[in-house]
Amino acid sequence: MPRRAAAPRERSPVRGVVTGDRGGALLFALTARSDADLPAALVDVGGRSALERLSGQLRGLGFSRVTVLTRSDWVPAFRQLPGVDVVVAGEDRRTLEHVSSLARSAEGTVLLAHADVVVNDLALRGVLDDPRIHTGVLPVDPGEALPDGDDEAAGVLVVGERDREDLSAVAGSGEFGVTTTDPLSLLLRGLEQRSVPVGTVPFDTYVSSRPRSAAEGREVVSRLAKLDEELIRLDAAVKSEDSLFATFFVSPYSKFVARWAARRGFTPNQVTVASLVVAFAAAVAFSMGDRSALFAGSLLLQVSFTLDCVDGQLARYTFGFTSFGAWLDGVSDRVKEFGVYFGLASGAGSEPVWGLAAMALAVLVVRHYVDFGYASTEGDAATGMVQAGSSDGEPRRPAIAASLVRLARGAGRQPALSWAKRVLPLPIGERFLLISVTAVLGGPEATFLALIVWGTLALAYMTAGRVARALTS
Amino acid sequence: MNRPFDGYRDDGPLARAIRAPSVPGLPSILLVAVGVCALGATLGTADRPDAPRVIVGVGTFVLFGILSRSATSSRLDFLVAALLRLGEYGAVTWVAWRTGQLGPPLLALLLVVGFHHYEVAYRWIGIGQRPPVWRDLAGLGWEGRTTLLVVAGATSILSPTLLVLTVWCGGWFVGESAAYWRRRSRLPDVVDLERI
Repeated sequence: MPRRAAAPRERSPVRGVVTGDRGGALLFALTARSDADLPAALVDVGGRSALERLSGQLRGLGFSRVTVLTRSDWVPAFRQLPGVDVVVAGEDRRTLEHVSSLARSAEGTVLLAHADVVVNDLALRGVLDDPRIHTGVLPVDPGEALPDGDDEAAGVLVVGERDREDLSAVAGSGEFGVTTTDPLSLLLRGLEQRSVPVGTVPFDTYVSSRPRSAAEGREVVSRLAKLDEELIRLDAAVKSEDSLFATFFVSPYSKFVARWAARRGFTPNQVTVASLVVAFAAAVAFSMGDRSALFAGSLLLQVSFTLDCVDGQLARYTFGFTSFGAWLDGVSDRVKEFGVYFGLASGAGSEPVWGLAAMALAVLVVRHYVDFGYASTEGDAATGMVQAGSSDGEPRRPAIAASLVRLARGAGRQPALSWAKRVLPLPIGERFLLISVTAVLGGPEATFLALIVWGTLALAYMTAGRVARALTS
Repeated sequence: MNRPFDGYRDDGPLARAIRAPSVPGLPSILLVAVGVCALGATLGTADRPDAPRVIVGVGTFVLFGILSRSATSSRLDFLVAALLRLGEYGAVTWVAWRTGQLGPPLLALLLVVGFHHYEVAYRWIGIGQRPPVWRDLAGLGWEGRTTLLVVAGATSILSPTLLVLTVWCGGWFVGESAAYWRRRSRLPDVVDLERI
């Protein structure tokens, strides 16, 4: 079955601010106490209570109704907060009943959080707005002493629209297989047991803490002040698993181009089209065939590749990537490449070079189809998108294939080998660089020969790896 | 392992018309591999597209490829579509080479067909949708194009056939993609396609 589209939301084009009502938010203030024996949600964090801070953040993110679930003796303490509904919970069971009924009745996203959790805006937005995360968790800083002694405690749990039914079922069943008094961790385990994919904050650096005293509150405020969200967001926009050339020679400056483009209000798809136009200019230059034209074409091709990196970074930076954008990006990459092949072959103007161009194209298509075919057999049967935790049963392991897989995994742990593994398959950045360099140094014939030789090696390497994995999985 | 996405095969009217029996114990990948090997062996030793052995080689590739549609599945089935691409692109380039027709029309046709193959893949990977069946039928499929061009090469009408087929296929493939783009571009939703 095809992936269902997420519910369309209204966004302002530049910053992706969500308007309107996003869903229901339920905050737990059940057992956590401060050192003054008050609810931990009332600990002072920069001039207001942790709960006021969190509910203000949530309203800003489109949760117009924020409900606090607490015990009867704490109700008076929460009553005076504006814009917050207070509901009395009974025992554990009753707590989960509230969750279950919210999951059934709310429209849109359900957000569950500890009322005393202090998080930075960007982390919260990341879990809510990153289109790759439908249901996600924002963990509390590891290493902190938590009331229930759980190391991987959840601070905020966001459950997307199409997982709400699972949430309702989990909260209703009370079957979790673990004992803990933390309702968020209970629900998280329950969702994981039902194989709901749970994402996590898309940023390496964030603040997520549950201060228990005024001193801890001040400490969190100072950590929040030190956080450079702009820089975190920019670094996260750079793809972590990109190729060597893109990582070290393009992304370091292209991310600033992406930020500039975001500020000017350009959309990722506009940048994709710009990249396409520049690549066509490169193809036209290549078709002229003389040395200086080849040089100009090579340069333009590199500009086009930079823009190609920018569009993805811009999309991640603005949380604005769409599956349509992904399709457009993929298709336009190939159209660019095809244009360049045609331009180079025209520029050479000799019969054999047309044949070499055809062979280079064939190698490229076959190699990618090995990859497409393999990807469509693993993970989600519908789309070939890999999902975690889907392996079951004891695998058969033919000896040679298994040792190949082990070798590949071992190589992944050594930095140099790991980079070699990324360069050998000749990803697009390296391929465009190879085209530019060989076109200038040796002309079109050299370019196609290089593409054929390296492409064939890459084909052999990738096929061997996938065959080995297919036989061992 | 799941079965690979069958939309990657790009079967045309000929392949879809033949109701091939499923031979137990003969997996798809074996049939296609034998077909491609036969193709490679015969083209490698022939020098003209009207040589009898070319008919045998191309015939084996096309027939076995069609039979693989309904053959039993195996863990290596993900290679089937890649081998169909190898056979088609290889055979067409070989025919153009052996008839002295290496030139813009050959590359133009392969680029149009390549666009089709990639666009189908990105639509599936990125969005989880497949193009309508008529697009594969209109494009004649891998088996139709391969057969047509080898026959055209053997009867010395490769050059006009390449041009007509490029315009024909390009019109359907690009036209359907553009129509899809126009329908689709207004709908935002999710997924980050890794750069490949």
